[in-house]
This record gives sequence, C-alpha cells and structure tokens, in this order.
Amino acid sequence: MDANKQPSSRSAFLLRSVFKSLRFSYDRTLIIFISIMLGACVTGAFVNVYLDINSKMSKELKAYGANVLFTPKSIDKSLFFDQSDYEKSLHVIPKGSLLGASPYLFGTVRLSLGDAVMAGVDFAGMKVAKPFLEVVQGAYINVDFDERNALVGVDLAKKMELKVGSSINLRNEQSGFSTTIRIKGIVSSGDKEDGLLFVSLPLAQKVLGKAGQIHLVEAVILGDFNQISAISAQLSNVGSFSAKPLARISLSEGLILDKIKFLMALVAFTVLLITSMCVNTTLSSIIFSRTKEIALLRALGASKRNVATLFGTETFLMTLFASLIGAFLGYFLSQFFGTVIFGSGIDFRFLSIPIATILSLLFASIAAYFPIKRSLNVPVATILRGE
Amino acid sequence: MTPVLELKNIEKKFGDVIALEGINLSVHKGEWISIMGPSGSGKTTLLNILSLMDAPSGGEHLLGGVNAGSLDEAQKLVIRREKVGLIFQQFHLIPYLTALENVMLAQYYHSSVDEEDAKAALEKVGLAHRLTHRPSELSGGEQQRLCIARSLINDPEILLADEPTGNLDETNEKVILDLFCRLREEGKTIILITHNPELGRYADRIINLRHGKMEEAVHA
Repeated sequence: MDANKQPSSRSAFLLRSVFKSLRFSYDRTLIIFISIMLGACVTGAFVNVYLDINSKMSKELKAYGANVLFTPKSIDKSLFFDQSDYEKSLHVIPKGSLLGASPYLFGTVRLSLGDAVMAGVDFAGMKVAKPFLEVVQGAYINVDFDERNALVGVDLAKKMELKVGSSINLRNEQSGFSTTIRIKGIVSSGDKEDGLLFVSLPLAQKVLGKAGQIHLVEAVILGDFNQISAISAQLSNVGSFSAKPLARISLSEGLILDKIKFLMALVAFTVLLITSMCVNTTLSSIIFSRTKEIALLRALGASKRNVATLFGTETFLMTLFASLIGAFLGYFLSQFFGTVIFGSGIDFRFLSIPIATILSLLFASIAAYFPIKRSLNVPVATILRGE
Repeated sequence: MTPVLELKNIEKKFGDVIALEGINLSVHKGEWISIMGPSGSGKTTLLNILSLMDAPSGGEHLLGGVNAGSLDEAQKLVIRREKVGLIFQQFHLIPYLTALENVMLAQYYHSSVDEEDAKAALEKVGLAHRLTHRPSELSGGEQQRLCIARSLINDPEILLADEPTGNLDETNEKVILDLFCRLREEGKTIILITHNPELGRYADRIINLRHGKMEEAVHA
C-alpha cells in the first residue's frame, strides 16, 4: 500500500458511507428521524414554556388579587403610616413587576340612615388588587383623583337605601370640612367589601383629617413566593411600614407553578421515553437487516470498535439533525401552547435549543446502545456461510 | 521453506457432531489448492478456520509459522485484514456503495483509502467501466469480479474462495477461472472450495473432504 495517504480521507470515506447508508434505508431512517424530531419538538416547546411560565402563570394567578400587604411597622404605636414612605418605597420593586397597588384609609362616617365604614382608595390600583370586585350597577371609577364620586358595597347600598346617582354628604365635625359626593356604582365581592363606601384616598384623608396617612396598602407583585418575599423584605427597610407577602396567595402560586412544571417535565420525559422506544425498535430492525453487512465488515477486518463507530456515527448524525430541527420547531409548538393556554405567545428562549437537543441526543443514545452492542457480537462465519 | 499455512490434526466439533477430524495440510506460497467434497463434508467449516473466522476445537493452525490458537481476537483481526483475502459465493457486497466504494471499504478497514489503487484493482478484474455502479446494477459475474477486486486490494498473501463460481453461468465461470489463473501466475496462494471439477482441475492439489475427514491429496 502507498504510505503517502491523506489521513482525512478515512473520515471523509466514513462520512460518505454513513450518508449513503442513511439514504439507502431512508424509510426506516425517516421513522427514527421523525420520532426524534417530534421528541425534541415537544421537549423544546416545554422548555420554552417552562422558562416563560413564571411570568405567564403569575399574571394568570393575579385573578386572586393582592399578594403583598403593607401595614404599620408596630400596630401598638400607630395604626397609620406615611403615604409618602409607601410611595418612596416603590422604586425597590423591579421594573414591570408591580402590576398594581392601592393604599387604604378606613374611617367611620355618618350617613343619613346611620354610620358606615368609608375606605379611601386608589381606584385604579384597587381594580388590580381586588379584581374580584364586581360592578353590579352603574360604573367603576377610573380616575384616581375623582373626589366627587364614590362606589358603595351592595349590602351598604341596600341598608342605606342608596342607588346609583344618590348624593351623600360627608362631613368632618372637627375641621368642619364638608362635601357632597354622588354614588357612581354599586359593587360586590361577596365579602367584607360589600359593606364599605369607597371614595378616593385624598378625599377620605380630608374627611377623616388624616392627611398623608394610610392604614394599609394592597399590592400585586409578579414573581414566585421567594422573589416576592425578597422584595417585601427590601420594601420593609424603606420606611415606617412592613411589607409581607400574603402567603396564602403567593404560596399557592408557587405550589401551582411547581406542580405545572413537574407535570411538564413528566410529559416531556414520557415523550422522550416513547421516542427512545421507537428509536430502539427501528434501529434494532435496521441493524437486524444489516447483519450480513456487519459480518462482512468483521470479515474484512473491522474491529468491534469500527462497527460501533459506523453505527454510532449514523445514529449520532441522524439524531443531531433531527434534534436540532425538532428543537427549533419546538418554539412554534410553544407559540401554539401559549396561544391556547394563556392567550398570548411564548418568548423564544435560546436555552431551549441546546437543552432539547442534548436531552434528545441522550435518550437516543441510550436507545441506540443495546441494538449497536448486539450488532457487535454477530456470528460472522455462520452469517457469511451463504446458506 | 516455511509453509504460509499449516494445519496439524485439526478437529472441529459442534456439540456432539464432529465437523472436521484429523485435518493435516501444508500450503506453500504460490500454491493453488482446491478443496472439494459433497455438501456437509466440512469444506466451509475448514475455510472458516483457515480465515480465522472460526476456531478449531483441537489441533494446530499455523500461519507463517505462528500458532493462530495463541492469538487473541485483536491479533487474529490484524492477520485477517493483512494476510487474507476472502471471496464469497454470495459476493456479500454493500448494496448502497458503488463498485469503487466497495473496494475502498476493504482499504478503509485495512489502513487508509486510495481511490486510484481501488480503480486499478477494478481495472485488473475488467470493471473499469463499472466504477460508479452499485452491486444491484452489476451482473452476477461482475459482482464476483468486484468481490475478487475487493479481496485483492490489500495485497493479501492468501486468497480464500468459497464456491466463487457457484452462482455464475458458464461464461462468467470462464472469466473468473481466467482471473484465478492470472493470480496464480502472479504468485498468489489460492485456497478454493468448489463443487466444480473443471475449476478444481486447475489447482496444484485437490483435497477431498468426506464426512469431515480428509481423503488423500490428489495432485491435479
């Protein structure tokens, strides 16, 4: 033999043989290719959804309302804290994480038929913090500084015989402040809100003589329980109040998210397992049909390692291409999931490509291991006997 | 002169069945030996032992003075690819590779591939015009010639052929016979299993096998 050979020509020949072999058994190769591609596609889609589900689910779960409550640091000392402290504290919340917040100031006011509890609120913020508050008559107040209109809970309206359009006179005996407001809407939550009169916070502060004072704040902040706890701790350091996550809501969010993520991982695992079984069965069938070829290679002097390299290269190349295509298709599948489940698209995460590709390669390699191992032990002489 | 191949009292059993018994044979460089015998006489079993694809149950198998029984699988593999060229009755060609690539495949597992050498081997067996054809596009005779070109590409010391004309018509049989004659002239050692008395007639010696035992060697 001529010793002056190009070392690269061996690998070129191997690749040429591999591609020809894959093309020759294209029907079965296609089954493996499609199986792996579908597996990678579902995995890629789930990885995309998985990485985006925190924000998506947080938004969904905000239907439960506020998940952080601001209260005075020490209730023994004061039931109020400064509104300015609360406003200053908001900068510690990461941009885009605060969905809404409303301060509250409560007090008793005398109406014509008796006393009522009045709540000074930020109407826009309350809409987010109490999304379950339903307008049963009239309309909601969308302007924060609207000091001429009020909302009344359905029970209080009934008790005080108030209707949409009714006027109420509010008066501060100490300061002599007096104003007349009009009922713009009757609201209901099926809870304590049904017995309250809602007015704008500045108006309540004037009526109650508590300028710049608030009792509490309800806020809706995006994130899981740990993130919200961390933000709450930072908020508490700012001023005269302490912010605490509402564990019932935030923890529920976390638990639901964890369960959904676990379910998705389980589905992805099952899909990959089914893919592996398909790869295993089809590859076994391909290798079985190529037993004579393997025996010939061994007769020509191919070592077991040579044979393993040949089939390993075929499987690797096929899996790599199928996984990459599947992982990219996974993004489009995730868009479908996003639209169907959340009513919006899912952000593309580059990480989904390597994760889906590596997982598919791993499962396909495990699936290919046993058929390839079996192929190394074919009885060469018996098979080539030609009977 | 050391024989290129020597069998001493070779025995092969498959369970209780004795396939070969008391086989003694010395083959020298450049000899053409034909092994003949009826079906089930142990011809192919003997060829498998000679090609190191099977191991005898007893006796000694010497290749260039080296006892094959003392070699491990890796060493046997090296001997098989360095010293032995195999020709099969069923051709055993890779269906998805061209004629040229089928020859290059033997180069690949031997050392490195060289297209020019492979082309030369195909020219030698008269297939220069069939380089890019796949086995399914070749006639039986052409497939066997391709098989011979593949066996010759690594310049083996011994050619082992199992019924090389078994699947061929008379015309192609003649072509293959001529090829073997040319190879003998070039000094190749040939061990050929055949039913065909015409092919056997060209050998230097004919070994007759019957029920796994060697009958007297006949000088052709």
